[in-house]
Parts: sequence; structure tokens; C-alpha cells
Amino acid sequence: MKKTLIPVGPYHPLQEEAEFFQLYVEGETVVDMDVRISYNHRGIEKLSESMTFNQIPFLVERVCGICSASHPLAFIRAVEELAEVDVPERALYLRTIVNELERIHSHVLWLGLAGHFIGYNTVFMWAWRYREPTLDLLEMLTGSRINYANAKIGGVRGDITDDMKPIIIKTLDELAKPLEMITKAVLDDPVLHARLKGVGILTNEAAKDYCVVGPTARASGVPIDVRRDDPYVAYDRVDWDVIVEEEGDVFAKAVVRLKETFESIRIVKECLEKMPVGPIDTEVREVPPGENVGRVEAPRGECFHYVRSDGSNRPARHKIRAPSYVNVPSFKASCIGESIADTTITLASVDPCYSCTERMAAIDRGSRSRTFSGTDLVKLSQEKTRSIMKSMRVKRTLVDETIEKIMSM
Amino acid sequence: MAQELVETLKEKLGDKVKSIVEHPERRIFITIDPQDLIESTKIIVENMKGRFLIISGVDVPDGIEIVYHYSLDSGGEIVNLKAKISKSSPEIDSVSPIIRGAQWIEREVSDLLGVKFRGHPDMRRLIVSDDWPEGTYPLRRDYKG
Repeated sequence: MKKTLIPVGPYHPLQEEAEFFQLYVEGETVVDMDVRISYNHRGIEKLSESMTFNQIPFLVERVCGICSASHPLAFIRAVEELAEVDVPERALYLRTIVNELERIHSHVLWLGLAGHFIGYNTVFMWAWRYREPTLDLLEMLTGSRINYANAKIGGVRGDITDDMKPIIIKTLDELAKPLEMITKAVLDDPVLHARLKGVGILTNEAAKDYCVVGPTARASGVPIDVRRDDPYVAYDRVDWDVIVEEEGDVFAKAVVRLKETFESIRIVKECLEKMPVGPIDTEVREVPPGENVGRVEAPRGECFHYVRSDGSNRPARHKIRAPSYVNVPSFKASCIGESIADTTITLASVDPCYSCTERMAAIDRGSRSRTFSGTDLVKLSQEKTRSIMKSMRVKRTLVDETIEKIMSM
Repeated sequence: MAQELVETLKEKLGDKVKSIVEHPERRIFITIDPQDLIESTKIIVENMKGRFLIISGVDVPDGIEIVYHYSLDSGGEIVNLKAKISKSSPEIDSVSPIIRGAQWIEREVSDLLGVKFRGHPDMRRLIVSDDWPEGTYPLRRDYKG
């Protein structure tokens, strides 16, 4: 009878084994790391060359589901500057609001994932539940929870009506209060300190070597933020702070994202207050020949686009660099020397724009007899938290208690 | 206008600059010869504290243009260094020994445009699959998908 060989790649839904991140361990310690990417390569840059400038924002917002407002805006920024478009003031504020709401829901999503990876499942439940109202706001403003298509070359598509403003403020306040309590608990929780401080350190030097961006950079004392360094939309018209920490460990990255969420809430509220009445878009006739770059501070970091125009209605070249492209390789620097129980949370701390953490396998170079799948590594991570709690004689963590208090409020 | 910056770049890069233009504001495009790449890169990275962003490879009629993008964070400017190589012999020095963060993108440009980066420490395929045919470069204009 004929035999058929069916290859089961790293993509098979039933396959536990992963082939994206290969960690080489000796005993409990990671000694080397390799990563293979591009299983989900979609040829977006090539596709872009066959689309018109107006169509491309719809294409690039699908580069990433949670940096969905950032990619189109980076592209639009490049094109608008090249075409010398005078974008109406009100549109700038509207764009800022959507991009900051995206940062909020993305950071809260991350908080939940990080909680899950270290066994703080109440955090996971809470975060993903409390993220929902922000997505509802985005739906109210743009018609979609993800892939908003709000920005276009020349302005935005949808306006905010006056009756929406109090809803936005109320929703953000309802998130801010419990988030403040959780942030305080995170900063005070001794189990969390023992679990995450000193873990997965990306030194300031390594951060610069790998050219990392976003919270990954800012948590290692690299004070870069496109919103302040190269302002776009309304960021230079409102008052907010860039959050920087120095330690470069997972704890620092968590603190940066938590604090940034409050800055985002601040920015949205100020935008609602300050935005002028007026048009929300302007007509753009053509894009002259030339080249330009456009960048935006996505939740994961700087999102960079390069656009070359030959005067036709399609780009001659469109290069896209997502923040994770520079952040993910830095995992090599932060995971070597770590224990296998810390690899999942260390990778998660750079907030890769795709659940890369499920795509991990660890191979024991010493004995060559054991391999750890992604699921094994998550379990080891969660176990480590439990053993810390046991050694500290803690039955419930401060963060857990805080969340219980919030749920009963 | 970043006129001062343009003057500083002209001064530090000297006769390596074939052309330099600031357009739009705070976006500077400098053309150099490929053989001046390493020296120019050192000046931008070490001397002027440029932060490497990414490399864009562009298939143009008379060759392949490699564009190196850097951010000067203190002023928010972006400096773009352009070097053109021939399609018949598409080679250029790797900047990865100077900039660790450039390793992946040089592998990508090699995969997608067929550029050889001399001195790259790890020229494995990054984007195309292991069984992707040699000599087929998806981002080239003559690629028939």
C-alpha cells in the first residue's frame, strides 16, 4: 500500500513542539538561543507596490492586530509630508485619541498575558475583562475594535460627537481607578519582586547594541519615544511624560507599561478638551515624486516606514519596520544565563507582536534527552512563582488580594 | 530646518558625500559610494550618535540602492545614507560588525533582493524558506510570483 508522508510544520494546531525559538540549555540554564521567523510572511511590501496610496493604509493596518493604528499612521505621515498636506488640527487630535486608546488596550492585554505566564491568573482574567470597554470605545469612534481604518491620507474618516466625550472619560476613569490599585499592588508585592526583579535583564549597552525601541528600550534606561523626539499628530500640543526605568529587568518593563497607560489616559482626556472645531480632512490630489520616512510610537515601540514615490498613484518602494523586528532579537541578550523557568516571561517582556512565546522549545545540550515545549516552559514559569510563594509562606499575593477587592467593589 | 545638521554632516563626511539634501524637513538623504560605507557608518553611529533604524533595499533600473536609516534622537532628525550597487555584482560591506542590530535586515535584503553583505557573521536565510530556489529574489522587479 502506498504510504503518504504528511509533514507537520510548526504551524499545526495540534503540534506542541515549536520551531520558532530554540533555546539550548545545560541543566536549568540557557546557554544559547536561536530564532527562526517568517512562517507567517505575507509579502506586504511587495503587495504595497501594486496598490494605490489610498489603499495602502487598509493593507498595513493588518500588519499587526494590536499595532493596527500605528502602521497606517506611519505610512500616512511619510506620504503627507512628501505631498505637503496641511492636515486639519481636529484630525490630528482625533488620530491621537485613537492611537492612545490602542496603546491602552495593548498594554492591558500585555499585563494579562504576563500575569498568565507567571501564574497570576487573576491578573489575566481581570486585564482581559477590563480591556473590553476600551475596545468598545474604539468601536464607538471608528466602527471597529481592531483595524480601525480611521486615518487616511489627508485626515480621518470619523468625527467625535459631543455626546461621545463623557462616555470616553467615564470609561477611562473606570479603568484608571482599579489600574491604580493594581499598579500600587505590583509595586509593593514581595512575591512579584522576588519573581521578576533581576529577571531577564537587558542591559543599557545591549539595548543600544540591538537598537531596541519602545518600552523595551525605556525600561533599560534608553530614553527614546517618537511622540516626544519627533512629534506627530497632537503629541506636542498636550502635556504628558515619557516613562523611563533603569534596571532593564522584566519588572522594569512591567512598570513602564503600567505607568504609560496612565499617561495615555491623560493624553486622551487632554485631547478631548483641547481639540478645536473644524474639518477632519482635506483633499489630497497627488503624491509628487520623491522619498520620505514616517514613524510612529506604537505600543511596542517605534514603527518605521520608508516610502518612495515616482509620481504615479502607487509607491515605487514601501519598506516597513515593525518595532518587534529589532526587539525580538534582543531576547538573545536577555535570556542567556537565565533559568528555563524565566524564558517565557523574559520573551513576553519585549511584548512580541505575535504570541511568539508559544513558539518556544528548549533543548538540553548536556544530556540531549530532554526537550521542553512552549507549554512546558509556561508551566515551569508558573511553578517558579508557586515555589516562591511557598518559601515566603504566602498563600495569596498582594496583587491577587487587590484584584479580589476590585471585583467586589 | 536642520541646516546646521546638514553642514555638520558635510563637514564630517567630507568628500564621501556625493549629494546631500534635506527634504522634507528634518529628513536628510545623503548619497555615497559603496566603498565609503563603513567609514560613513562609523561617523554617523560613533561620532554623531545615530541610532540605527533599518535598511531598505530598492531595485532600480541601473542597480540596487541600499538605504541605511538612522535617527538622531536629540533633534528628531532622520539621516538616510544611500549607496548604489550593480545588479550584476550586488555586493557591499556588511555593517553588522559595527551595528549588531543590523544582522537580521541584512539577511532579509540578501534573501529578497540577492545582495551579498561581505563580512556578515551569520548569513543564513531569514525570510525565505529553506527550500526556496536559489537566485530567485521576490522583491526584484523581474520576479514573477
